[in-house]
Amino acid sequence: MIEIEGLTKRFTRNVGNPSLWRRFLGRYETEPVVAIDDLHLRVEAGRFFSLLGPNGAGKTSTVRVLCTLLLPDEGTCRIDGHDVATRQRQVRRSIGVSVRGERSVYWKITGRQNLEYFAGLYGLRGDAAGIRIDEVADVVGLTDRLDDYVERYSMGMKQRLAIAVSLVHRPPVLLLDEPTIGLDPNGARTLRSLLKDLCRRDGVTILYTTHYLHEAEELSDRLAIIHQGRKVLEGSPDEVRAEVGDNRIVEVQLGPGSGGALAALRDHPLVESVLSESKQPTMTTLRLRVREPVTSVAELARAEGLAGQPVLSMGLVRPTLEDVFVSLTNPAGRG
Amino acid sequence: MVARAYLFDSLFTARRIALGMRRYPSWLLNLSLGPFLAILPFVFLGDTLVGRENRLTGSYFDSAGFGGYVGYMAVPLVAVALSNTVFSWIGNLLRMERSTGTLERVLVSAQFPSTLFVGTALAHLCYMSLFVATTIALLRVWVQLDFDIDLLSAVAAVGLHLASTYGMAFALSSLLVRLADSWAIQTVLSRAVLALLSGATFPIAIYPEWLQTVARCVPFTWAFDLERRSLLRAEPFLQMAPDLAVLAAMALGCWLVGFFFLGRELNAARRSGVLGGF
Repeated sequence: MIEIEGLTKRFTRNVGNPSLWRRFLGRYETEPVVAIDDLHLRVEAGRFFSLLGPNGAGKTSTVRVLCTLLLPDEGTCRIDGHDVATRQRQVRRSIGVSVRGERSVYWKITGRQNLEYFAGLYGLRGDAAGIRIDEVADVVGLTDRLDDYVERYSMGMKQRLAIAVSLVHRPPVLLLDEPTIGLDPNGARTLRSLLKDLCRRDGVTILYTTHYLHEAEELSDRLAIIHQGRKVLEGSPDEVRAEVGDNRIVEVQLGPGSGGALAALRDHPLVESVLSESKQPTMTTLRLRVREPVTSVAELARAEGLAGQPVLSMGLVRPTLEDVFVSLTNPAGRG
Repeated sequence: MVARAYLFDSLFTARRIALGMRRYPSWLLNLSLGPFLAILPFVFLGDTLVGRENRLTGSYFDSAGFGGYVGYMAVPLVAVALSNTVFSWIGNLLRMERSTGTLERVLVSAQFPSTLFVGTALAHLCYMSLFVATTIALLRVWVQLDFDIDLLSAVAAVGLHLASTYGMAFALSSLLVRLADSWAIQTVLSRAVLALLSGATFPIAIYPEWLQTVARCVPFTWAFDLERRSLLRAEPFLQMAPDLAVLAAMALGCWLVGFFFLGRELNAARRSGVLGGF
């Protein structure tokens, strides 16, 4: 189980362009940055929890605090009852971590040698280590390539090896920081399927950060959206989707030469924000959030600027996680 | 139990480092020939200025009993090359782990972060013996370097030199954990000390008294002196024992400083968030 209560973490960020001498002395001008601001989370044992947020929201900092790489400024975090600030050694035994993904393993040695090394650091030796290494290699699908040098692996294989390393000591909790970044769709799907199995079949508690919303939707029992270090929403994927409310998302498809229509819709008093805008050569698709729930799009369709414009279709649609995410993290609808 | 876990962590790290080193044997050539090639010009310069048959003169050389410049320079210069290698390996260790992205992974896995240094030093030592043996063999063949060795004294002097050098590199690296580009500072510091304060190529007796006092605070000064005495003059162990004890205390001090500051600085880095940055 993971418990976070009132977690706050502040950093200082270097600003300006200091002289070479000041750089040499490490005397930079700095400004304070609040990376995590009074965060409260609770992940029940055996659950898959996703932490969503735009870049710089505080997801990675949260994972780093949980895995003892950062010390909290305020608040407490406990993993399986162990405080991450005061019981670091016990916490490390309880968690498997993947930060920095494929770069967190040694490329100049083989996959097996990597696993032997990390198993050794966790106190697994001899036959017990050998058996466990074969097991985790099988789980991540690397059995055939385990004796190859890691530098010859694809990025997806390196990611899977990093997951295998984090599993080698049978941790009850897995902390994964954007593990599918840079993977091709097949590699990402394989990894997601593996993680789903680990959680559902083996009961591993997983905290997963991502900004790929479809991943969170597919994998999570619960998820939280954080923005500028603060939690703005938490719930199951259905509960989070419901936050936008029914009858508030309108999808509009416009044909070529529809600049006037775009402007008219953006400025329409009923439209609260433009959640997404997808441009293709023959069609532009907009997702709009309206201020109040509506039962039809008739009023929107009567907008002045739309007359004579190539509007291909317009209708109410079910909100997606992405709609919620954009509504909460970019409410003005700016790109 | 803790000691056993510490030992195993160190041995696993040593194995991992050795496996990585084994992949690229070309650096063995560099390590074996490099020091020899660096020493040769000094010997040739001595041949040109003094001549091999002439003895070193001056109050220091007369009283210390080192007459031949080849041995006087070559022994500490082998040690200097060795020390430089240690500093670039141990001093650069955290930087390398940071830049490859593995430092954080190791820190969340290892029970004792200092085993990263101890394990690397162990792996490194296995190769160092090869490098020292090769360099000495080449010097014997090419410049007829004559040794007059007291084995016990020599083993003690070389062993303590290694212990203090690894200790100094560990201590410096630990002190500078929070500096992302600490390696340059370490390199300049270690080379300045090796070149100017250790008496590797000239006796520190030429310095004013206050600078000699400073030089005597540097473990290298004692190590080079003890190595010369044990390898070139066969000085008995008991006669060298007081000076060996000083070097042993310095080595221990360096390691204690390393252990103390590594924990402290890693915690400070965890607080400021610079651990993963590079």
